[in-house]
Amino acid sequence: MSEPIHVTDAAFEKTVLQSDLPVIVDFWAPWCGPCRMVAPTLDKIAKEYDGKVVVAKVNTDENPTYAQKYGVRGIPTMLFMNGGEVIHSQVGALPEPMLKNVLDEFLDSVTGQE
Amino acid sequence: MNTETTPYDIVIIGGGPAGATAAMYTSRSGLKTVVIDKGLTTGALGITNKIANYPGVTELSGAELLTKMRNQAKYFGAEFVSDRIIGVDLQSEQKSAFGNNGVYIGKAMIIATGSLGRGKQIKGEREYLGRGVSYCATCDGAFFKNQDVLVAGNNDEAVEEALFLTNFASQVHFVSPTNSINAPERLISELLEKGNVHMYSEAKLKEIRGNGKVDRAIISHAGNKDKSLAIDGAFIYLQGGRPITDFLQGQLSVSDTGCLIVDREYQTAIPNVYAVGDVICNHVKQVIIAAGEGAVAAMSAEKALRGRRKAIVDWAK
Repeated sequence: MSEPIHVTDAAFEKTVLQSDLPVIVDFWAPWCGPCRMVAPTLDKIAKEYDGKVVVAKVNTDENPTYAQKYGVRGIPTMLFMNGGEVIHSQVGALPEPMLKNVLDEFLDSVTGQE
Repeated sequence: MNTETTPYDIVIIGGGPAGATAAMYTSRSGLKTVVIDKGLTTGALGITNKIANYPGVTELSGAELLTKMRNQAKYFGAEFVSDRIIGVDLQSEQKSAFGNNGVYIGKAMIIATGSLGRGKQIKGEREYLGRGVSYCATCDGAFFKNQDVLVAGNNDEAVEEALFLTNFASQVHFVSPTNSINAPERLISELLEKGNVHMYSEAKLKEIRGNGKVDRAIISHAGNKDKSLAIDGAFIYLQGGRPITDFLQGQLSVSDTGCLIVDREYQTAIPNVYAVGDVICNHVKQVIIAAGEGAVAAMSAEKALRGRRKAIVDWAK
């Protein structure tokens, strides 16, 4: 799973909520500039954290259900989820080092290890 | 919408006197130049009523002088794009600026964003960011279909964003801190003619409240009692008096007063990244100083990109 997975509303339950690994869910849309800014970083994370975290991308234009469910009203919003629960929510793009810090803290908190 | 990533030689953020002058020099020396700007009246010069101390110009409005500068840069080939930059990548060899509408990549970057940035946030603003508070109508407008939104601001950026929102929202409350709005008449009329816009002038956005997500705003309106507006979204384009550096997200260090630090060629600590104009906090905030700095940075960038040790002065052209 070295690339982000594009998740539809239909696949959300299985891919995100029932995932064995922690998940970053990126709610995005094609017209959104800040989303484009964070996309390459998420691609990198998918590669570098392969086996540790799943990067799931939800196009809110085509798949509005879960964005609504989680109250997403600004994109990009990244939900850091584990066992189907939202542990942390990040609104807006972050530079790569800062996003990785957020991710590392999240992974530490859910796995209790480095 | 610009989703292409056209490579430029020079990417200039900010089209005020510093950025427009830099663009004039770089484009005239044959460098492919783009200037990204939020609007004509979003900067300090654009909102100035009268300029009478710029050499060679007896009396013009700030917007008129700026239009002349921009036209001069365009004449030499500079491209002007209307967009708001929300992030940059300065560490890579190619410098990227990420806007709400596109990504702009260049070999060198000149930061000329001015000093009308906000200092303090409004109560509730940070708490509800992404839960109703937004700075990008293009990104988030669609989430507010048939809902009520508020737009706070008094420049052309705010008006354009409000116009965009009228396509989605059922009601748009436009809250301007001043009596007049710094935007072209045509834009203001277009906004006022929309049936779903409510205008509040000399009104202050005091607080954004909600319960998990935004549900209302408190405004004080021209000396009246505070008013509570039921809204689902708040789009904020207010300005202040601080250097605009938030989009750098810590990639360049700033002084105690929030200003960018440069050397005598206006280069920052990162090679091929320059900063000019009010964002470096000159003790004299004058158009001619900003323009002069733009010229120096442009010549330094040209020299650096073409691998020379000295800047060329083009007397004969």
